[in-house]
Formats: sequence, structure tokens, C-alpha cells
Amino acid sequence: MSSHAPLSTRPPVETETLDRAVAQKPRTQAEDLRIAQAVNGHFELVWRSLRRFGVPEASADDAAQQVFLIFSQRLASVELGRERSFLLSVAVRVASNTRRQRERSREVAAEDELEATPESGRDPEQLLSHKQRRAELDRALSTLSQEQRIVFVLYELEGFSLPEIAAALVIPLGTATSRLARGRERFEHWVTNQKPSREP
Amino acid sequence: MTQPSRLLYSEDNPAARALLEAGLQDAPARDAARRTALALGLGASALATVVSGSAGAAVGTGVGGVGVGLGAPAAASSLLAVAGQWLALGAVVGGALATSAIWLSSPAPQEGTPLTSAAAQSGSHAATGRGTQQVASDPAPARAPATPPAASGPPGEAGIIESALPFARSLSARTSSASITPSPPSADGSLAREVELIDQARRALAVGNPLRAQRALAEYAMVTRTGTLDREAQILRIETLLARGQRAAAVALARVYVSANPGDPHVPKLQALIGSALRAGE
Repeated sequence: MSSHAPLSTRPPVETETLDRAVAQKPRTQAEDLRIAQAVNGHFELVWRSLRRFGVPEASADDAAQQVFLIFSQRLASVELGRERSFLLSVAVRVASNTRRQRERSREVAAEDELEATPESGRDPEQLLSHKQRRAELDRALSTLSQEQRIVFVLYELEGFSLPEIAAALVIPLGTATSRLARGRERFEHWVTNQKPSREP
Repeated sequence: MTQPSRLLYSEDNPAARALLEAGLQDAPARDAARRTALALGLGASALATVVSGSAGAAVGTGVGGVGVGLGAPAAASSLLAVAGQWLALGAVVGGALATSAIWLSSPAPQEGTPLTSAAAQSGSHAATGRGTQQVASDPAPARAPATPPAASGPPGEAGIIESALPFARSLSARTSSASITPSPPSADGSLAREVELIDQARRALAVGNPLRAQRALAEYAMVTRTGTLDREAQILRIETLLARGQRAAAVALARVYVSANPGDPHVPKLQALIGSALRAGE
């Protein structure tokens, strides 16, 4: 558990975001509405993508909040209608940072504890089954490289087209296609070889 | 271009499909989107559109004034209808607000002092060494060229919002202006619960439990109908972010708060936080 440390003891953070925050002008109501629409329309997608990109459940809300914070700060540079692509490209970076930080963090145990926090209103047995399935999914995804994983998740789970993925990640379409192909190969290999008895 | 069929819909590998289906069942908490919207400091009109997607959720913050006279007939009439009631309520709850703000009225901290006076009094708040959660650099996708001035709003909104008010004005108006909630709250029940939750969050922070504080603030966001304690909630969110090591987000929220509430008594503390970030070269 992190405690409230004196400010001077905290490590420095990325300066770009802070500088941008300093320069941030008061938002207009129209800008607020645009942000709200993005939150409304894409929060679940962003949150779920972060999870599948490897962000633990206990950190997913914070990570999603970071994504939308960056979106709000860069609002003027995001073309209308391209909010989803922008959010996902930010989510990729946030997930990467979160995962790196988690690897260094001493709080993995605490977060794992939070992962086990029961969800209310659901049958415990069903819940356990869902959690097990999701854990299996994450294990399967962990066999992919991060690049393959991102393309695989966006295509297979979130229904993005390959051109959309290529645009969001700013990579050539051929690269997206090959990452997907290799990711699928690894994923199916894991499923076939590791969990043959778990077929529904 | 022909794209491969998706495993999610494929009959060829049911085990793979089942795993992917499990991934689709993963979803955030019901109030997570709204908490994010609140943390971003959205005005009430915008916030209401987020809330509308959550059945039964309360409209927490009131900035009713922003819609009035701006060419949003439906919203404006609704706002005007309830403005008087909310202003009256504001007087009733003023005492409670003052009480809950006492903890924030201590002098601005010196450099290196925790933002929360309560936390400063707790000897258990040592640095944990947890790395600050870094906010990712904006990738600025190459295919996202600059837009026209955002004040013009997305298509369709321009006709609704003929003029935009600064965010600072909207946020600063929250504790004293009208709400877009169509009916007034039960002031006694709602406000009492809001005060209780804010107190819970404050106590949790004081004993070094930011996760509990976060939960209390999340519940506050769900139940609040008066918006009276929104400023306190915002301050506590900043402190919770700090306590969880998310300094970048905390500083960003602090800046938004300071710009929106220049005369607010919390500002010296927040400026100290921002100043320490600047001195640290952040």
C-alpha cells in the first residue's frame, strides 16, 4: 500500500504532461461535451483494451483515467471522428507504461489482492469461472509479443479493421496484418497445446 | 482488402473462441466512466451526458448557469426552473460545507509537506518507494491532423451551444449555482450521506488508505445530488492520486482546480504542490 509521502521525496514524472497541464487553457463547454461524449462512447473499450494489453484490474481505472486526461489535454489536435483511434493509441502507451511500472513496483501483491475482490451481484461460482477464463485469456495473450498482442486484441476482441488498427498505431497495414497473423498463430498454439481439456 | 475471419466468430476453434468471449465479459465498474468524467472536471452539462448512460445515477455537480441564455432552450428552461430551489438549498447546506472544509483551511504547506494536513499529522506516512505512475506521452497519431478550433464543437452541438463559457467559470459555479437535475434532492438525506462519504475519504487518507478513500469518493460521485461538496471531493481526489503515487495526474488536476477557482482557500496548498513539481523539473 502506498502511503502519503512528502512531496519532495517523490520521484520526478514525465515533464511533457505537466508542461501541457500548465499551458492548459480553460475548456469551453463544447470541449467539455466532446470529452464527455468520448468518455460515454469509448470508456469501456479503453478500459477493456487496457486490461487485455496487460494492465491489472486494480490499475485499469487509473490507467483509463490517464488516457482520457491526455485526450482532454490534446483535444484540439484530435480530428473529429477520430477520437476512438486516438484514445486507443494513447491506451497502448499508457498500458506499456503501466506494465513497466508494475514490473518495478512493490505493490504487485496489493494489486493482486484487489484482483481477488469479489464482484457484487454475481453468482460466486460463475464469477470464479469467468475470472478463471479471463486469467487463461491473459496467459494466452502473454505468449504474444506486446506488438502482436495489441493488434490481436484490437482485431479479435474489439472488432477493429486492420486499416483502423494500422492508422491508430501509425504502422503500415502490412505490419498490422503480419502481427495479427503471428499473434493468431501463437494464441491458437497456446490454446491447442495448453488447454485442450477446457473446450466448452 | 480481405481480412481474416475473426476467431471470436469462428467455429473452427471453440476453445479459442471461448477464451475470447471471456475477455468480452470483462467490464469496468458501473461508475468508473463517471468517476473519470468527474476527475476531468467536466462541467455539469457535459457530465450529465455521461451520467445518462448509467441507470439511476445521480447528476452530481450542478453548473446550471452555463446553459442559461446560451441558446439551449430545453436545457435552459430546465435549469431556470430549478435554479431558485438550488440556490435556496445552497444556503441551507452552507454550514455543512463550512464544517467539512475546516480541515483544508490550514496554511499552505512548505515544500515537501504533504498536501493533507491530516496526513501531515500522521507519522506513518513514509515514502514507500513506489514509482510514480507515469502518464504516457501522447502518441499524436500521424493521421489525426489539427482540428478547427474546438470551441466550435462537434457537428450538431454548435446549434445547441451558441457560446461557450470558460471551464473555470463553470467549475467555480458548482457550489453556488443551479443544477441540471430535474428535481431537487432530498437535502437532508442526500447531503448527510455526501458529508459522511467525504469524511470517510478524508479519514481513510489520514490513516494512509487511499484505496478506501477512492471507494468513498466513488460512492460520493454516485450518490451526490447537491454537488455542494464537489470542491472538497476534487481536493480529496488530488490527494488520493498523490497517495497512490500518481503525481502527474494529481498535479494536472491541481492546475485545473487552481485555474478554475483562483480565490479558493485550497489554492495555496495546490500551488505549493504545483510549485514543488516545477522545482523538481516535472
